Amino acid sequence: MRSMIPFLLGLLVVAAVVRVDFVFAVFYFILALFVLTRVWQSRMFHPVHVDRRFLERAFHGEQVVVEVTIDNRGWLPIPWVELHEILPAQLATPSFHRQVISLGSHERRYLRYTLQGRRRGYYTIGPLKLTSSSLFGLHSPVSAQFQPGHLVVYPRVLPLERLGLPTRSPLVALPARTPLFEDPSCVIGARDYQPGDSPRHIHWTASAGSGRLLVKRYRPSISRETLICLDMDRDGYEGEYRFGAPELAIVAAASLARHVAAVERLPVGLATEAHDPSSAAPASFFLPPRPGWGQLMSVLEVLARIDTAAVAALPQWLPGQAARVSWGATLTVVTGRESDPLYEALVTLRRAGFAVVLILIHPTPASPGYRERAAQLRVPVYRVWRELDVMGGWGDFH
Amino acid sequence: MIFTDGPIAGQGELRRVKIVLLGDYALLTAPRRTALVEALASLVLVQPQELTVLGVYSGSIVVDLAMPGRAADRLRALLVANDRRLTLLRVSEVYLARGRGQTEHWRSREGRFELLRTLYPPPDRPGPPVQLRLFGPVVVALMVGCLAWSLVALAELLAPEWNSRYLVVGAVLAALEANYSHRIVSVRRVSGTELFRFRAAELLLFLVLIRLARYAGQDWSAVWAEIQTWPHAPWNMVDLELMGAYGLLLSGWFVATSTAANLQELAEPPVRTPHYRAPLERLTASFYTGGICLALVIGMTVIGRDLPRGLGWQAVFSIRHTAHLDLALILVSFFGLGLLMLGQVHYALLQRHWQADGTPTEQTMAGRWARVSLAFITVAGSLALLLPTGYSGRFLYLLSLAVGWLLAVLSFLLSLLLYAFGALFSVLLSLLTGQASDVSSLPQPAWEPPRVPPEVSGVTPDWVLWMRTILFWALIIAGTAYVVVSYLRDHPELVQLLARSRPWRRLRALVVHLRQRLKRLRWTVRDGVQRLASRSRPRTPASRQPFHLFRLSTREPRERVLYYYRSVLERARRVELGRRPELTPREYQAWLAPRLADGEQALAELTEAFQEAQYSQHPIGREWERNVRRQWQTMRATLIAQRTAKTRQGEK
Repeated sequence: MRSMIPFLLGLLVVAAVVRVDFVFAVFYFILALFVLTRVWQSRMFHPVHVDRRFLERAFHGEQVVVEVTIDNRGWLPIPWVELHEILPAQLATPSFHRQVISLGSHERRYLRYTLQGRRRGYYTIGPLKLTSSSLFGLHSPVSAQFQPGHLVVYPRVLPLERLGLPTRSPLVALPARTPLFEDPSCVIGARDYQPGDSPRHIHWTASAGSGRLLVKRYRPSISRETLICLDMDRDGYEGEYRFGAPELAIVAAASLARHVAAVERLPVGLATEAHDPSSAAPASFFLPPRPGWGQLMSVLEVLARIDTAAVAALPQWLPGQAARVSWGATLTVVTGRESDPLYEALVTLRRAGFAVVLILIHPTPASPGYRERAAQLRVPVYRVWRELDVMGGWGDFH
Repeated sequence: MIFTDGPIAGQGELRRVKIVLLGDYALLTAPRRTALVEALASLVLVQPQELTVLGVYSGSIVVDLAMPGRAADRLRALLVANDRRLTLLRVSEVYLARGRGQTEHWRSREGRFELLRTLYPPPDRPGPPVQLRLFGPVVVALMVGCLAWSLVALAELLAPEWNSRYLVVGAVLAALEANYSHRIVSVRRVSGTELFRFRAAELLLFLVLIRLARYAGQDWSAVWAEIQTWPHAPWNMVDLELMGAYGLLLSGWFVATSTAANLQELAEPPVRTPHYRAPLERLTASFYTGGICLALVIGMTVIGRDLPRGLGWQAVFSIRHTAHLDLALILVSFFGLGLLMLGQVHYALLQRHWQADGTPTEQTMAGRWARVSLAFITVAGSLALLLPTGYSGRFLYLLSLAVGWLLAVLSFLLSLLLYAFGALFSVLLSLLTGQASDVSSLPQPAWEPPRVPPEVSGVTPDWVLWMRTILFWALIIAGTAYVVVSYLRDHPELVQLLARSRPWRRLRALVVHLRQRLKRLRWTVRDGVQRLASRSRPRTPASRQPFHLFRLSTREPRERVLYYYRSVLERARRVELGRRPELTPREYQAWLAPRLADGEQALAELTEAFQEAQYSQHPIGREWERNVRRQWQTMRATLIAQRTAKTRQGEK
């Protein structure tokens, strides 16, 4: 390309000076070839459509088959296209899929590869980059990028025995399996509708008046709601465990949520402040306790994508989040570090009528001072730590 | 010392060892040397006659151990065992060739032998890519043949009696031979003196073959008579014709050799040096240079054939060319073959790149590549045949006229200057000698108008010729401008460099100023025309006129303002900032403003204006509409810039 302009100008000068028809014709030929290939190349990817299909949610250890369709809806063929799909290194080795194909006019090609759900997370699949160029190398290659997709791999969910937690809910010791949570005869207000709310509780008159969907709030009687308060503050875990311990905390939270929602069939919620990769910023998550599989999947989805960040410390936001759940609910606090402010917050919650459980993600048991204090408060403390499992890339717990 | 002076073994088992013993052996007598060799032979258990003394130097003696067989293993065993007899023979270093081209380097240090390193032969240089191994040399040879043909045609024009057509075949064969010899040199790693001898023999062979080719068809007795004169008059061996033919063949051979080297480099990784040029770039440059030279030579040949005898160079611009099928065929063949070659080289490079990366490719690609290439060449060729040619003459005729006049004026001024100097010198001389000066003997300056022959006129009317000429040049200029603009688009760094230069900045400011003036003028004229039109006839709503095409200038100010806002919505949609249906204009403004690189104020004013135009009942003034128009232009520029930036980002 660099020498193309001097060449064309030189050929033009020669043609103009000697005034020979076929020299002009050759000049036109090269010029036409240049212009045609240029125009063709610049519009090459306009009629190309890419569609990426895969299940956007996967469980830990599951295989995800991704099928990419490349459809040339134009009349002009593309002799070669280099496809380069960027993949997350946690799910695929190597962390890309590359292939060279040839696309005829109105031809559709399929690209298929498999991802391994080896690690929980919110992953970007792609973007797919297409590169091609003219056939004679007259121009620099052109490329186009197509939108990426997103895949959520849920965290690993384990039976509570394998985490060393009691199966008879850490949590509260109420005998009834179908307790009365709220008194429907005593409406104390209304709040915004949230997915999972029973349609029977919709406050239609208030919704019509305010222009948005509201549900009734009943006076709580006895609650067996469980709110998992997960600490994702970077300082909530000791320096040497700051990579492994939060992952274990998430596994513990997910396993607990599954146990409460699926085994005990009780409402479960989640509160945390963490880095959200979908918005690339710290965010506050609060899923109010709700029963059912849908709620469990919502909790798992949040747990799948969050990451540690420099956010507010757990003792700062814990009382505020607790105020949003019913009186008598169980608050399960999952953190990696004991501290005085944490115990002060737990005392406050205990006195406010909540059942409080502390799950400590740490290799050593709680210090005797703290242990004594927790016993006085009647706050059960459980320790979860399987360092070998963490080192082994989240293998099976023994 | 025992050493080898290069790679001494090929693939497989050990073949030979060269031995150099330290010491001032030049002073040794022949019997002592023989004794030394016998001692060495007994040490490695070979017969003395198997050891050959290759050379005796001051400080060392070189001994060749031919066909050592087990002797090499024996020697290695002695080295491993650190045998004292080697030290007694003053062996300090050993280069032992092993299997697979490896050479072991043993050295004595403090009386002990140790393996210092193992030398491996350099990897074989890969040949050209598979696609080009046969195709490349043949195409290059044919292209060289095209160049040779054009030169021969020109030479025949200059010396009609010279029958040199055989040189075309010679050039093609020389090019093929160049590719073959380059391959041999590359594979056998011929270098240094050996390479020089190889090349010298090759070139000498060419000379002899040309000489023999010239004798073909001649009477052998005359040939023999000429050969007999060579010992007495060696200059008879060469003549101008021979040297010309030899030069032509050598040029073709050189071009083919350098092309073969470039083709071979295609298969090698690039060299990271500042002045490195990729082989494809070099091949392309060679093709372009060859193409220009070929076009020039063919053009000169055509002119030479068509130029009437007795006319000066000025007639070049007014002659009418006739058809020259042979030359046209050569030119088209050269460019066709060259493009085919470039396409294949490009394909080979991509294939190499994909293979190196382990990227899977499809088998059908080669076929589609060839078909699409052919289609492009066909379409471009058809276009080239349809476009007008040969109408450059009018301008060139005028140009030659201008040059002729310029030369005539310069010639006249020069003669005036010479006359003035001559007169001055004559007067000074007369003052010195005392004799009267004779200025009249000096050549008088005379004005001679340029001798440009009249333009050949045909039956076509003059204005038609002018129209064709203008069309022709418009096509040429448009095409060239497109190429330049494309080039600048691909190289934004050049544009930035240009934008920083002062003349360009001034030129740009001037253009902007002129555009603004023109715009104002256009608005003034348009307003004046509209005012006149509105006075002369009652205005009907534009939308009610039959077959009305959308023209902003025909719309009412209120409609224009609405159009401005909708235009912004459309442009925003193109950069994926479109308005969602549920958003009001205000909400959309609040949503869009932070996503814009610039123009928040303009957006606010435009939204305000849109709402006023949409919902108000009062009349909308033209001045107010112009103000809104400025905000619209600002927004439009912002969105265009964002779209361009996004497109570039996408391309990267």
